[in-house]
Amino acid sequence: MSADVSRDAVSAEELHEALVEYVDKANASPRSKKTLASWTCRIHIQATDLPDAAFTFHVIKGIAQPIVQGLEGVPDLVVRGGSMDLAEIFWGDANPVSNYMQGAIKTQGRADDVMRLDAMAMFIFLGQ
Amino acid sequence: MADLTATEPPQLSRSLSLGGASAISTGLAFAAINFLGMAALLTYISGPLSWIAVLAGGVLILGVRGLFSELNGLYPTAAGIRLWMGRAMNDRVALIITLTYMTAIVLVIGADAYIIGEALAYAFDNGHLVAMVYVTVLLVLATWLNLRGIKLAGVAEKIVTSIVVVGTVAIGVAAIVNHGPVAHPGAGSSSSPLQALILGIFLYTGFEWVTTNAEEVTKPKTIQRAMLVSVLVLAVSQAVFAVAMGLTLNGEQLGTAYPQLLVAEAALGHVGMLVMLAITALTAVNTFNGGFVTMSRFIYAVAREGKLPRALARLNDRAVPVLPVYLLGGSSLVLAGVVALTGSFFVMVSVCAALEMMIYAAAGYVVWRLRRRDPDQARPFRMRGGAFVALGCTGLFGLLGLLASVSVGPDINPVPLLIVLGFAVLATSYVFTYVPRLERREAEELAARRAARAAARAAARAGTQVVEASEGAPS
Repeated sequence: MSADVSRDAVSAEELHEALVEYVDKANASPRSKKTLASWTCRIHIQATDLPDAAFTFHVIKGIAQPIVQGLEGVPDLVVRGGSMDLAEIFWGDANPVSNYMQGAIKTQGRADDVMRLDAMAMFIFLGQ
Repeated sequence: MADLTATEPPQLSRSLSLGGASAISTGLAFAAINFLGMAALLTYISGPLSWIAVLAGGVLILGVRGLFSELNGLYPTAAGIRLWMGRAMNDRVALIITLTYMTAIVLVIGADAYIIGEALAYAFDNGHLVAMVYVTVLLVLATWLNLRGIKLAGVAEKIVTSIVVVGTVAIGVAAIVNHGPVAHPGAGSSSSPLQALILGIFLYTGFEWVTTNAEEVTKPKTIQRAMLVSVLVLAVSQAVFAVAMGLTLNGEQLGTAYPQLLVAEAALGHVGMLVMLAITALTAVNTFNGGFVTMSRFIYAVAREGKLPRALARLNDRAVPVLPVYLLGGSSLVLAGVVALTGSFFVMVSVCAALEMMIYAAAGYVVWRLRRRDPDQARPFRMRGGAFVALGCTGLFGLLGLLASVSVGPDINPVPLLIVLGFAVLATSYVFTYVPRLERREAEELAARRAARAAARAAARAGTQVVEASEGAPS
């Protein structure tokens, strides 16, 4: 499989589905719930290449709430990036930190929140 | 619903203010090792004139602020150093420089622990052995607090930094007003304005670490302004205290690990000394808080990126990277022990100064390279003087770094250079032998995951087409 085939664009619906799937996996991960039990964070997720792909992901005491379409409330953290880069992160296909270190995704907010969001992905997909 | 476009800066529920960012920048730079930096500076320049070296260092640091402001404007992220170096030079070289630079933080933590241990031992009339017990207790406590995820909140950080700055200035002024005959005769035969300048610059190093908080501000200019405030505060407070030290202490006293206590004792007696001890301990709160948190998170991120072993990305139940915190605590303790055994605390000053000059030289090169490579890229802050000033900074700080690495106090000594080269050789061999293996594994796993996902999406699409075709077919 060439990288070109896997890097085609995703639609706002696919990104939404990826997020919904991610929320389910996060809530099914005992490690994520235990380690992030004190973490409450409202996250705005925004695809820079799709004007209608903006979502609110709210974590309350380690429990991921259902994804809300659109940007709701004042965020603690904003995550922006290409739709494919974002989808790959929430599918677990890409390493969020690699994307972050390469500048493919950008964040705005406290470093602790960024790290906890990454930790959530690590618990879900690497089973730590 | 919030109206947030992709270009507009977002409103955040908790963002870093100018005051908070200035406190972080000042607190990171104002470490206990700075007092030793002032003492070392006084071996090159006479006490009453030491403020010139401190202010001259501040002027050059304004150039560094220009470099970091431009880079921070281009890449306002905690991963900035990896990003901007990676864009301007070979990724392997960038990683070697980053890993070597990270050792400076360990050195500062180790040296600070040693200085505070020695200061406590002096204040309570204990020996060197008890001082090492203090060092161990301090580092164990810092490690434990970090593992528990306890760190200084923003307001507390501002208070601690304010106490350190105001207290240092107050004791400095008292020492200048109350000093007797000038105890320190001056630079004498070791007079060297260039080396005094290097130490003058050293007193500000670390102020740029505030750029790792770039994502916590809503206005990009906050970080640039905070660095300016920090340089001004550091210039005034340290110039005052350097003069006070020069007017109060003799050569032998300047060679101790706690010259700041002797200044306070001379000016205000035993109570003054105890107050200075508390201020010294408070500088460590900032150093340990900032150093441990910044460094352990950075190691975590590099490990998650796949450039360090995965074990370094393991988190405890408080979402703290366990192994990096233990490694930091352990290596700082070993370092403090080596310094205690060899009495080589001025070597640490030189190594730290050399490493910081190295990163400033690298930052100058990166600004120059990125200006040539991407001249049209939007730059929220442009360094005055353009690419050639940036290149000039590379030459200047490269030269000063080389000088810093071969001088210890008034002597020419190659030990700091050998230590820096030792770190660089270790980092280089790691990057060229182990990192390729980690990268291969990461790439293979990524390719496999992407292939599986692409196959699943293709199958889903095919399924949708079959359904659509069957729905469209005549029954």
